Amino acid sequence: MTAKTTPLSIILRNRKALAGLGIILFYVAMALLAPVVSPYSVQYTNPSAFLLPPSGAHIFGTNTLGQDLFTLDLYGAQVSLIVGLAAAGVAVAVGTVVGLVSGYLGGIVDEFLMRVVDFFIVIPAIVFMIIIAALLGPSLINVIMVIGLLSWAPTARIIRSMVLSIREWPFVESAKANNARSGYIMFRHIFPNVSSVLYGNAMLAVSSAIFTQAALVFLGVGNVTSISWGGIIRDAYTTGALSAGDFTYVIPPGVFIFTLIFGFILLGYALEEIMNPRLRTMLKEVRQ
Amino acid sequence: MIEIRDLTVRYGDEKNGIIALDHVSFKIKEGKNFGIVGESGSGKSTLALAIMRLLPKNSKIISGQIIFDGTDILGLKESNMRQIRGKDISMIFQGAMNTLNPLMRIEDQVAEPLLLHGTDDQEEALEAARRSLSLVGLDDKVWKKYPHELSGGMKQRAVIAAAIVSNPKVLIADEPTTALDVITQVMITNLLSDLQRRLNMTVIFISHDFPLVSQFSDLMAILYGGKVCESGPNSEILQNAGHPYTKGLRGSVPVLGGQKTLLSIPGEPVNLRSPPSGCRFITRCAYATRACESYQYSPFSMGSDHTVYCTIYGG
Repeated sequence: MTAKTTPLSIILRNRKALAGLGIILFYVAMALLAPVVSPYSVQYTNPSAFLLPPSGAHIFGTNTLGQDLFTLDLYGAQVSLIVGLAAAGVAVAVGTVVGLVSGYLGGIVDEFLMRVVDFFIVIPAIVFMIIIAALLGPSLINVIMVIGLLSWAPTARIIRSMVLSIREWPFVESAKANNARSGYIMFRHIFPNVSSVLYGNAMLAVSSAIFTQAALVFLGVGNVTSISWGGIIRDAYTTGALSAGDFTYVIPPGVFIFTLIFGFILLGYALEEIMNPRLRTMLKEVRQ
Repeated sequence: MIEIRDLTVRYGDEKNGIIALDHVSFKIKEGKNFGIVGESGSGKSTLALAIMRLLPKNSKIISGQIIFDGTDILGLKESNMRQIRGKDISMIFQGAMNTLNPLMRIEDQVAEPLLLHGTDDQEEALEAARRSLSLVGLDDKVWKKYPHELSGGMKQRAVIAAAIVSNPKVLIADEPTTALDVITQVMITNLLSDLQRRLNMTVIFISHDFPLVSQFSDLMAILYGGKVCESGPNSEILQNAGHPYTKGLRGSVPVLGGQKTLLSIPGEPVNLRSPPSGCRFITRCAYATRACESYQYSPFSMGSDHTVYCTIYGG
């Protein structure tokens, strides 16, 4: 008897997906359980115990305020996940709508939207984000919006290219003959047929949003006051912990950022493999 | 019921464009099967799309009227056309395999025309869709399936179910049986003529398959190079074809136990970019004379409703 094929079972049978999912779940658990597991409260400061090396009481040592670094590292997962998921959500939503409209309507609308996409692809995103984030001021929502609204362009391009082929299918013309309006055709008929690329794409968007958020905080823009891995590395940098050889200050948050991003990328590649049967058979042939 | 008057459609601009339909006129009687035959590029599909008012953006209607129920469809506002399209006149497209959305359940797709025409009650629309599916011979086993789970013939039945769900007065079937095997072709055409009688629809059956259309329809028109060359009742055309092109088509049909060599029409289809000034068929016609070079397509009546456009009969 073969196992039942459900979307979940297909994902769980893919080793990359399993590894990625495992990593992500680990960090989700870390973010959720931080208040329970962490040895100190986030508010806890001890000015007399600043910049301590690792010890039994503080396994990663303390920072300039005497806060326990291990506690901060645990809490840092929260911001990374929230910003990563929300910003990617914004980017994928905007990119999908722009791609659908651009590809389906064509003509001048397409031309205009694609030039806007070109603009967002060409400008150095980080620099632009620094300016806008500095103008808007530091809040979690602002960081999410800045990252989201500056990274939808690649999604829009991918969706548009797929819409261009799907819209020529006879069922689209048939829907027109049934009196369907453009909006209805775009979202009811074309969107489901292009949505398969979104899953992998969204995961990659999450990973890049996590990285961008950390980079922005490290550069001093965005919400510097909330606890995040980028912020911890920034503190370590400004206090000269790195040159002092205080590696437990820098390495844990760095490793966390890296592995979380890696988890999302793994899951993204796996989803792309699962959603694209042609890629799946190609990989099978390569392996043989 | 539907009357095409002097319809001319051009693709592209005046200089480089091609005339897909050139002053085409004929009448389609209510409650009959009307067949339109023609080879590739003769303007069959353009005609269907013109009736639906779904011609692509790069086309232009230069002249003519399409009279449906006493009004000129071509003069209607888009909002009024929406009342007709998919409701009074519905259409089945070429390539049955792809006219269904691969990600929608069969019954949902069949119910769609109703939902797009103001039926708010989802359940009611689904009920009607299921009735329609039963009517075309698809039982409850396939109602909730996706298109890839159906065979080609079943898909075409589902497409027909969607086209008749809103009880249209006119059903346009554009090459409904291409890409189906011969047995399924016959089953689908039988189904269409059965439905035509039961629902008292007018069916416009478009195909390049002369024998299929001649078996199926009551009346037919033969298009060549964007022009009608002959139109009339089926039996008349089969027994008493007037136009050399029609005769050629008839001669190219294999008959069981008939002659060994099949006739073919020499030459190649007319180049619509630079069509001959007179009769379009002149380069391939065995009977061509000098008169054909300046022929202006004046009709010749060969009997009741049987019209031929050829110089053999004067004009």
